[in-house]
Amino acid sequence: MTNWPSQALTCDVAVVGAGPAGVSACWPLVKAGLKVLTLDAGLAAAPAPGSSRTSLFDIRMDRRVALSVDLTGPEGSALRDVPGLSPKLRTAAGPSFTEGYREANRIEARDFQLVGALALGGLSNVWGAGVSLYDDADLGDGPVRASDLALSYVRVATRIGVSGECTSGESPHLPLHPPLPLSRACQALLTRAQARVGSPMRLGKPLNAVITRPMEERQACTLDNMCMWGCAKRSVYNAADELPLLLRHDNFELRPGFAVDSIRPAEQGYLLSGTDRSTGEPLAVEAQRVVLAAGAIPTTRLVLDLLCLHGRELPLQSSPAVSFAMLSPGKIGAPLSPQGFGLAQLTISCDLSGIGAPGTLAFGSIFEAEGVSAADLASKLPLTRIGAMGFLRNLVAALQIGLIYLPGEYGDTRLRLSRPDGEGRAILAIRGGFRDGTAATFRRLARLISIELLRCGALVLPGSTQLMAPGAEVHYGASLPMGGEFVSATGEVRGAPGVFVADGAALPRVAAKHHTFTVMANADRIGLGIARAGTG
Amino acid sequence: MRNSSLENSSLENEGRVLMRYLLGRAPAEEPVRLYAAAVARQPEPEPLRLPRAVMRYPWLLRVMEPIGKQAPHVSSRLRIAMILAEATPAGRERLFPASRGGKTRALIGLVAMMTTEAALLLPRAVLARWLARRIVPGSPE
Repeated sequence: MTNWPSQALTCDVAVVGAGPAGVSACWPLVKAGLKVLTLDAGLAAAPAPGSSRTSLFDIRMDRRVALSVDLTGPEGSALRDVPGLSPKLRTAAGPSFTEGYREANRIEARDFQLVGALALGGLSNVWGAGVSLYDDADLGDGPVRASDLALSYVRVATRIGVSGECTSGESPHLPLHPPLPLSRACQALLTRAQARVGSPMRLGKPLNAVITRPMEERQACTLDNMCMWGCAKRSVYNAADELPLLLRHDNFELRPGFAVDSIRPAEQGYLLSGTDRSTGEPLAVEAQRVVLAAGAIPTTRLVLDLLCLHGRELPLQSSPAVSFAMLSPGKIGAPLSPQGFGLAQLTISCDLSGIGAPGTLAFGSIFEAEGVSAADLASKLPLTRIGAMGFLRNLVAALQIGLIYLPGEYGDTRLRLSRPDGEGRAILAIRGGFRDGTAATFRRLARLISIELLRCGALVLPGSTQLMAPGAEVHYGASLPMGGEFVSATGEVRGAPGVFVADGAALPRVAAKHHTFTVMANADRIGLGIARAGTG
Repeated sequence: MRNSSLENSSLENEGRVLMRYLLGRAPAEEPVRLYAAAVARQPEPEPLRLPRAVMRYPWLLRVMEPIGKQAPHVSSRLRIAMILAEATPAGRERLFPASRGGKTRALIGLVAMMTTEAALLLPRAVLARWLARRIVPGSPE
């Protein structure tokens, strides 16, 4: 029997998780006047770099500073050994950012690189800021259609600031900040790709959750090319930056350091019990309704535990990803650019119908290598470190890095809740993998991209293609899809009225496209639905 | 019980060798100290058992650098050393020289580098396997 703390906090809606989904769900609830309490296991946001930090170009050209701590990351975090993960997880956030995540959420992972953050703002502290809109094909056969998300896409874009250019076929019409300038190499690549007709590969200008006009406390992007080391100007969206804005509302409260262990039905709704991560003391919150936005995997654990589905195995859609390096020969020997944007310069999409995967769309981004640390680039090149240094000295301005995903169905990752000792706290076990044939599909995709990029004047470097380990791409969800067995189209958990899933777990499908913006729009839609029901 | 000060000194020596290999000259003391501290925080912080010849002539590492996932320990230490090397003026000068020779010089440099790398593939394939067995912490010498 559990002893609950005698005095539990109460609220209309408890939101679990202060990441992009949780914050997006909060806004409509707070605006509707409901008393909202957000619980997050993180004690604070990841510290942002100092605003006096200079540009990457200036740091690299400065010969006076004995050791540039800007390049070794906060608390030397770039020196950590976390193979296979995005370099930004090391360079932009301190060691405490990801440590303790498994233990706090009681997750065991096998053959799966579990990445999570115990920080306010969640993984948006290190977000690559790629924005994509799901269309009906991306959403699959579920009950939620692209038109259902249209209003929320606009609301979220208005709130967080998205830069880019409208395309003629885009629907809905997003309010956009002026686009970030493309590098010369990427502009040339784009021009050549757009001139080609009938190619299965398409390049495009990306939408980025990066502001080019100031918003509240955030400054417009200054193109300092330091994006991989964290944004000193807060131009790149981070959900943690929205929490002070929410706290201006009297009916919003934030409880950091509250790791939710379980949810149980109570007299007037639900009782959320957990632990104070600072003191280890038990905590509890009573809420009429609960919105789960703790991240796809922790949310799935809480729902399976609530529904007492121990031993039941669920699939988690996880997009396999591959990275590659390519060379634009026209830029060989060119000097470093004094300014630049360090995140996605271009989008790349590839229709795989011609290579034995009908109806499959691979999607990804192309980055300028200039914005990445030389050590991380060297680890991707099939050369000795000395060879890689010589290579980068001559070619860094001509080098681009690509990262491309397959849809989540190509992953074969399973989640299972169990009580290892028969009682006590339940643990969620993850077993990662790829569907049979995924490696072969990637080989064919790599060949296709190499040929198509060569036709656009860029050379994919032989030996540079690397398949990422399951989970390392942090591109997963759809473990509790809306319209499925456990969650309705409104995000409500079947069998637990008043509990809603508002993060990536509820996506009907994980497409190859960047899914964070869609997760945020869906969370906003679910929040709007609860607000309407709660105040109507 | 491990002798931590001896181990730290060995890690600093290891850092000096790896950074000297990357920079072509002796590194400053601060990055060496940071190297030892970073390795000490790793799950397997034991010093690599680098051959005496490599300790004396760090450039020898080039003919025995691991290929692919041959020796993840060595690759991981080289990555740490390279991040620190890049953060020093000597490393930045080596990677991002203030004056560049233009496209022709870059192409000549590229051809020379690729030729050397191609020539090194066979000795690396053989020696890196030997090195991996010899220097990885916990493996028999």
